[in-house]
Amino acid sequence: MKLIIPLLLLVTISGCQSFRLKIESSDSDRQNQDSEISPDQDDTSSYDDDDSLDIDDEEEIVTEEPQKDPEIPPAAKSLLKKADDERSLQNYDRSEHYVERALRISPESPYIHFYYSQILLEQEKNSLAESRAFKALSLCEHDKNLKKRLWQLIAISRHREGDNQGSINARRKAEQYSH
Amino acid sequence: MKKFLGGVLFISIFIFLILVAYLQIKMSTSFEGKKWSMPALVYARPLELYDQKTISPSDLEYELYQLGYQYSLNGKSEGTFSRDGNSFTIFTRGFSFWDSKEPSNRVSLTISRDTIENFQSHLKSDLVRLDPIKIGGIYPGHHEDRLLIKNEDTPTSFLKGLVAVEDKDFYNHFGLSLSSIGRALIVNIKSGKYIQGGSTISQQLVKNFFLTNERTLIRKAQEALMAVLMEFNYSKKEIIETYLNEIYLGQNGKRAIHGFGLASQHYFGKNFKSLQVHEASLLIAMVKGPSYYNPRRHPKRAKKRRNLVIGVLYSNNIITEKEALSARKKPISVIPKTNSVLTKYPDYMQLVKKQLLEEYDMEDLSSEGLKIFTNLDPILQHKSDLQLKKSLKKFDKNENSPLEGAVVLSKVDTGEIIALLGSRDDRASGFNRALKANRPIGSLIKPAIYLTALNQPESYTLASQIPDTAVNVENKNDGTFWTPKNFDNETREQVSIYDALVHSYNLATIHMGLALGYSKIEETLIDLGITKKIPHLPSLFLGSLEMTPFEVTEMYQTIASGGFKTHLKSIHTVISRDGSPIKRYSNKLEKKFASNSIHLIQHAMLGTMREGTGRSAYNYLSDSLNTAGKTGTTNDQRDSWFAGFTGNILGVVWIGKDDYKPTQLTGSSGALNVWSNIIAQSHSTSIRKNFSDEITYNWVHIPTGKLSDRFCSDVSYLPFIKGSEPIGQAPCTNIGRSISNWFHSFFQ
Repeated sequence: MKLIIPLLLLVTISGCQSFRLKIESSDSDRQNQDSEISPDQDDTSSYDDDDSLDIDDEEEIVTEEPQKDPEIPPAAKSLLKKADDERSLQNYDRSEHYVERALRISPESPYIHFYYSQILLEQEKNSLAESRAFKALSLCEHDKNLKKRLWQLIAISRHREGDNQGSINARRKAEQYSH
Repeated sequence: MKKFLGGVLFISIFIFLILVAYLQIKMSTSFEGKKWSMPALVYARPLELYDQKTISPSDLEYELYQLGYQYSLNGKSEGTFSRDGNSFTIFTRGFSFWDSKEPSNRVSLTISRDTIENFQSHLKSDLVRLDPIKIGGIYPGHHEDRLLIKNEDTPTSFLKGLVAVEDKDFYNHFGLSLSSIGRALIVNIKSGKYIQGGSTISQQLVKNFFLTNERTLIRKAQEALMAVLMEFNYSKKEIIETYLNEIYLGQNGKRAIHGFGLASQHYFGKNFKSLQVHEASLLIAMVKGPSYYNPRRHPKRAKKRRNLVIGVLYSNNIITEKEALSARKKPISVIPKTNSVLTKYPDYMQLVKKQLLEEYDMEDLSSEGLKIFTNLDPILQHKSDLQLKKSLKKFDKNENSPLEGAVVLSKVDTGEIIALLGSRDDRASGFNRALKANRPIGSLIKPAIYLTALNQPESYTLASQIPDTAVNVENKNDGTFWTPKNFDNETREQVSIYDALVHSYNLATIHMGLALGYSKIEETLIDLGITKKIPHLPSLFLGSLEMTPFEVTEMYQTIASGGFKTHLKSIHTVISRDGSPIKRYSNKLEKKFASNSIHLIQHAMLGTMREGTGRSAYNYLSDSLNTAGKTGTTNDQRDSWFAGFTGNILGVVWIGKDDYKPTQLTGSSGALNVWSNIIAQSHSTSIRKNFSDEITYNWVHIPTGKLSDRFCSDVSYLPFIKGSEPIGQAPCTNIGRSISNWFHSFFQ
């Protein structure tokens, strides 16, 4: 009986400690939240050494033309079809040209901007792809799946540019939209 | 004696051979050079037609007339259209673009509430591009203009007709036609004066290329010799092809019209291949004297000669009797001169040339026959021109000397320059103020200063309080003091950053600038695209920095696009004369600012338009159109500025006097007025909400910067980057409606 109270106290204190640790780690998550422009401060203390971007993550990005968005008018869709045909032949300049024409018709479609960012990524124009992805994000209201894919794309482009910390941050952002 | 004569003969032959050699060299080098010398042609953006496209019926009709489309009820040929109320049927012309050849197509559509519906095309396309309006060319120094045509593009009947009329022995002679010379000699002797020439096509070509129009024996002898040399060096095919492109066929202002290709456009607004018999005959008729037989000035004379040519075509079995009879009956109908090739927009063209010269040299531009496709929207350019003229004429009544102005319009998302005016007279090619007038920008600099602050959310938000108190800055060079004032001559203990920008408080901005420091502000300005040297002086905070309207557009482009820097460009694509793609100017985005900070500054600029110095815009704009902007007025009102944007268009307007004298205008009463009227006619879209998870909106008590509630007084609904929201609640007194309810409804 005499031991129960100290034991209880011990358990309680241990429980509080672990709870405090959880709060601290989520606080540091918020501090290290992606700033979008530059990599966060080089605070790697909260990250595991194995927490690096798996190169296989690149497989997650599959370039798809945004035909399914009902808000894109048929005229823009025709142009996107041509863009995709050119892309499949690796005529990227022509592909971009058709995408830009589609964007003149639907400049606010995050899907078309996303598609464009994928074409840029395929050509390893990584920083341009990232900028374009951020543009898509600024236009994306509800589609969590799209937001996730955009952050994944940003993660890949940063990884390719050697910005591993930025890439990790982007991947974490992507994970937020998985739930 | 024999020896003397022999010597003279020898010397004569020697001189003759030297002359021949000289003429040979002159002819072959110039012929080769001139033969392929083609000016660059510059086009506006092609108008695309598709379902849901926003365009008014009057705008569509304007574009069609600018393209030289003829109104036709039966619409059986390319380049015609008909209209029944708001329904159009258009027979488009084909055109070769950078990416593909757009075929000729028959299109029908209806426009309802300025939106295309029931779009149908004969070729079942979802989208049809009209051929683009030609807005000018880049010419060689001798002002010649031509549209190259090849032998294989020339209808056989045309070639036969031309030869039959001008030089029926062309394919048989060696440059000179002795029978033609003989005939002309007889006619001239009989009449006692020079009436008829016996020139062959080769001789005419030589004359066009190298010689003057003087009718002297020496000139004729030179022409004859060179014609023979030409026949010796070049094939009949090459000679006739060059002739088709070289022959002088009229004048368009300063520009000489050379060749049948260009003449077809100039007189009929058509491609050469589409000419009908009566049209082709008229052009052939004009060869003898383009001024004398000018169909616009001398239609009777032109018709008489044209019918003569039709007769020759018939008698040489080139056309049937029926065709000849039908062609003779046709009236002389040429398009009005304004639709023909001309540099229509000299200010915009200056920008095009400037940007082209960054990559090409002038010689290539003016001789390689490049086709330059620009981003110019001729409809908006025209509207802007009319509006600027109208507004300045109105404002002039209160001035003792005339005002001048400049307008630059660009697309928010791409940086494409869609209109540019460098003066109140769009047609005059003079000082281009849009590109060259460096003027202090005044309060236009303020968004950059506050953006610098908002980029530090840990320190500043839109609700942050800053002093708007008197400023006294000593000039260390001469010991004088700079004591600027607010526009209303008032001071305030504290104001929010939001209010400081919305109401353009000078003193608050200076305090803000001094707190931030020159280096940080300079970084912001550089990221916004300013390349000029930034002076580290307090006057910078009130816009002593001098910029052109084009440079201001560059700066505001980054803000309008959501923090993405895009290069402002007038050119879209360049193709070679044979249609091969050369270059495409892509729309590259470069993220320069966090979208969150841009969201905040845009919100304040939206407030400027609803509550602040820009609110008079809504005397002209629909209340449902959300716009953002900033007015600018410099000392003594020497410059009236406005920079503002909608969801799709950014516009910068400047008004002032070239001699820097004061005006009666502020940014609100002058430049904003012009901007608002242009935007009202532009089919602009509303600024869209930026969807960011990291922004929250809160009701804030403006005088204290603390959280409040929507039914309290002196509140505004402001965005904050998450984690930077105010701490503390303001007491809610005098329960009433907030003046910023529109924000609430927009952002919910």
